[in-house]
Amino acid sequence: MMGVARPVTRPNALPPNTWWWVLAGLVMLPTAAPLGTLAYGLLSGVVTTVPIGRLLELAANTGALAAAVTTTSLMIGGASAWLVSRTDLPGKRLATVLVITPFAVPSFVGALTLLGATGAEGILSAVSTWLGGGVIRYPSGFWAAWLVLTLISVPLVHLAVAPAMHSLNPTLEEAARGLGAGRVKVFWTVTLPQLRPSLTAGALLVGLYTLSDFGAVSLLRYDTFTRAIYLEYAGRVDRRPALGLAAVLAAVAVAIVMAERSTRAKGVWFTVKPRRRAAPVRLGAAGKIIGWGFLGTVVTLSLVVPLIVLVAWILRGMVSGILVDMPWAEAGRSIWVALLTALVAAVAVGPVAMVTTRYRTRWAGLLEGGAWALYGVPHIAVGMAMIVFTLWTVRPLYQTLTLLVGVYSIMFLPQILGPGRDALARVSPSMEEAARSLGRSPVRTFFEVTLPLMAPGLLSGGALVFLTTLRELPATLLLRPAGFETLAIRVWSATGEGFYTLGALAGLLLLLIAALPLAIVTRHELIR
Amino acid sequence: MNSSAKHRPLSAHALCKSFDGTAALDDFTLKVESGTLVTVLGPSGVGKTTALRILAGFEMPDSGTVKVGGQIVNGPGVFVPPERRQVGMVFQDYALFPHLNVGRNVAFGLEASGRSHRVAEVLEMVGLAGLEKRMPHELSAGQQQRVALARALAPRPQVILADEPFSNLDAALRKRLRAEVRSILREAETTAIMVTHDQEEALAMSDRLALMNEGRVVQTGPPDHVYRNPANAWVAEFLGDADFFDAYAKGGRITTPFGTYPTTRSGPVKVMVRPESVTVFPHAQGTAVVTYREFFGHDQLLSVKLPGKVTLRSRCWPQPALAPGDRVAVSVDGLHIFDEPQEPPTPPDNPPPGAPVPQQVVIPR
Repeated sequence: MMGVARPVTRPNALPPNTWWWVLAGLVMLPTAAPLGTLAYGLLSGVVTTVPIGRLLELAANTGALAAAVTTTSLMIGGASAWLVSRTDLPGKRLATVLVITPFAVPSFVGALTLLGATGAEGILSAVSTWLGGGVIRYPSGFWAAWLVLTLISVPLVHLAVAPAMHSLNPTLEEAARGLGAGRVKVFWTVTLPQLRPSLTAGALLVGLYTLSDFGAVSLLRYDTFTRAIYLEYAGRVDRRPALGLAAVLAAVAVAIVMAERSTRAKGVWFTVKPRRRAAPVRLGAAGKIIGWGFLGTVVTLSLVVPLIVLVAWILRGMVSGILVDMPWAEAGRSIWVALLTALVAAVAVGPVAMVTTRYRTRWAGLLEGGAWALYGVPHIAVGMAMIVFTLWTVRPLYQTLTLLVGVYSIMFLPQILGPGRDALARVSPSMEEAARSLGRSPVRTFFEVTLPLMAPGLLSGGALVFLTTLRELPATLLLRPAGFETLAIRVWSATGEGFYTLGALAGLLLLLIAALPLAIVTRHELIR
Repeated sequence: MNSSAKHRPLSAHALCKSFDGTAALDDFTLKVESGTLVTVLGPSGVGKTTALRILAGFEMPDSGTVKVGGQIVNGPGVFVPPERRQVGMVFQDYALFPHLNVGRNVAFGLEASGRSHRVAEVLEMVGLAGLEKRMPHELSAGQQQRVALARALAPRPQVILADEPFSNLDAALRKRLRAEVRSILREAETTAIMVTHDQEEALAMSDRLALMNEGRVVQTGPPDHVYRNPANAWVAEFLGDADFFDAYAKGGRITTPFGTYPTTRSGPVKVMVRPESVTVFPHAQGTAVVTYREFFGHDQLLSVKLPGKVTLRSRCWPQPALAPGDRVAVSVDGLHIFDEPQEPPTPPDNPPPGAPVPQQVVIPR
């Protein structure tokens, strides 16, 4: 039996959703700190501390790299997406997994494998010498960064384009053929326009990724914004030039994000859901060999060679006895800080998901927009902004674990906001009302009904946050407490100093730790 | 529980509620006697669901009082949250907890002691004994509906509220379930308020109807009483087929094209006639003409045009087979007179004055 009704006197009773708004506002308030600081950096004249010539040089370098990486990864990723979604290539599932997996390789590990494979002691050099060639010199600059970032970006394009190719409506192409257009004309006038939204999305993702990357360009010594920001930060007491550069970079990135969002809105064509799939293109024996040869080359370069190089350096270290300490402490710190971030993000996302899912108002849009805007800002810019912000306002927070986890959480919140909102959208408000009328208080209703139903979404979103935190380098570098060395930092610093065995050990450990959350995330993606 | 609570488990008085300046409820008053099934019936968007949600405690009225079991749960300065109202709810989408099995869904509102016994008891009552371990998605729509009912019944609430409980079911299942649900509620001796826009459902199931229009209850009573004595033209029109025409009462009588009837009123009146009380006979010298016929097998619906721009429909035996153009005589078994001409409900089958030719195709409702 239920208890007897006890009236509660609430003359000005708050509507029940007010608390969610208050909590969501509190969660999103900190995003104002980096965004506000960067806006200040852009608008206040701090930018003028950077010579205009230097700005233009960095812009040209960064733009050239972004354009080159985007073009090549679009070509390779587009081809691999076509092979697995539109042809009769055998072993498509395996091919998909192999093509996507390099996404898990952080750019600094990619740079490590390239550097570790070359030079006097590198494996590729050894192979080259054995073949009669000479030692391959350490690659650096544009071409090296371009190679590493392209190989890592291919999965981004593949993931964006393959679903669109898979669901192309074959009747449109048939209609065009029926109207007298040849194969080539059909491709340019019917097929490609249908793919344009997904190709654009893939291109902008890669562009943004290249723009934001710090690990590869810093290790491979290519002079882009991110590397310049770090050098300014590390080499000077005056923080203004670094903040100015960060502000410019952030502005460019936000502009790209906004362009991406607007093309996404316009890219929704009216289309009939295909009743059947197009018949796969028959490749024939030669075509299949060429197809797998292509995929094999890509996977070898992006996955097999890096693993061999890492293992080779570890073995070499073991044989020569250089290897003394396993980076257990670093691994422990990496896992601890990533777990903490995932947990904080999972708790913080609750009110934001609630507000943005249940109450579609302008304020909810503002909260969500703030989250996404920050998500698009390169981590090094966020890190730089938070250094300046804490030094100016809350100095005790400077270089603390609290600040680091807090910054991670607000930066990566959108990764868990998406799955969290999906999960919440499946919780009908009537379920919560049912729990209320069956005697549960609002708080108990949340914990007994809403939270359990959101849990799978929060788990996969949390896994993604864990993964991202684990691999994060530039913000960690800038904001970590003194001496707080994680696996990512170990890989970066060891590689930078030429200690490839140490770097390889930490890099391999990082990849192994990332495997479990990666499995959780991909399982969720496949289910959806 | 005191005896007055037993007597009247729920009453709502003068509830008002508006959303963004639009009034959803305007002086909504409803009293529900113990053990009865009351149906709140009205067209869509008339505030039925808002009323139910206020009774359940999911919305706050702007003003007005709600009492459950004699205790004020909504009133000046008083708001009892839903979890302390002893009001059970059956939702339109059932709102079963997808992460809990049937048994745990039903047990959700129960305290630990005697829980499993009560779960078995109510599942037995709704005809789902032994399905405790099933998950909601493994059940058919009809079974889900009964689990929702069992879950609401389990804590023995003062009142069960049901929001369009049959709207998610197909027509055949709906008819079967509403008989079942009615007998389950009887057996449980529960007081229930159901909201629906389906006239047939309301007439067939309820002990009392509460007709709702424009945010308030316009008439309550047993279904047959309300059907036969509608309070106004709107109720008459909403609750069944009805034809209207204007007339004038004088000297205790009212003259219509089909005869003279006694009345206590005088002055302009509105006359309502239901098709089932109209009988037609083939008659060569008849003053009425058949304009339209729709054949249903077990009966037929005729539209006849009488002198004085009066058109009536007749629902009668399928014999004799009349055709448009036939002359007929009309006899009306009972008519209802409203005090003054109401806002004309203008049934679509009343042709505009002076328009009509016998063969005109008219679509009856």
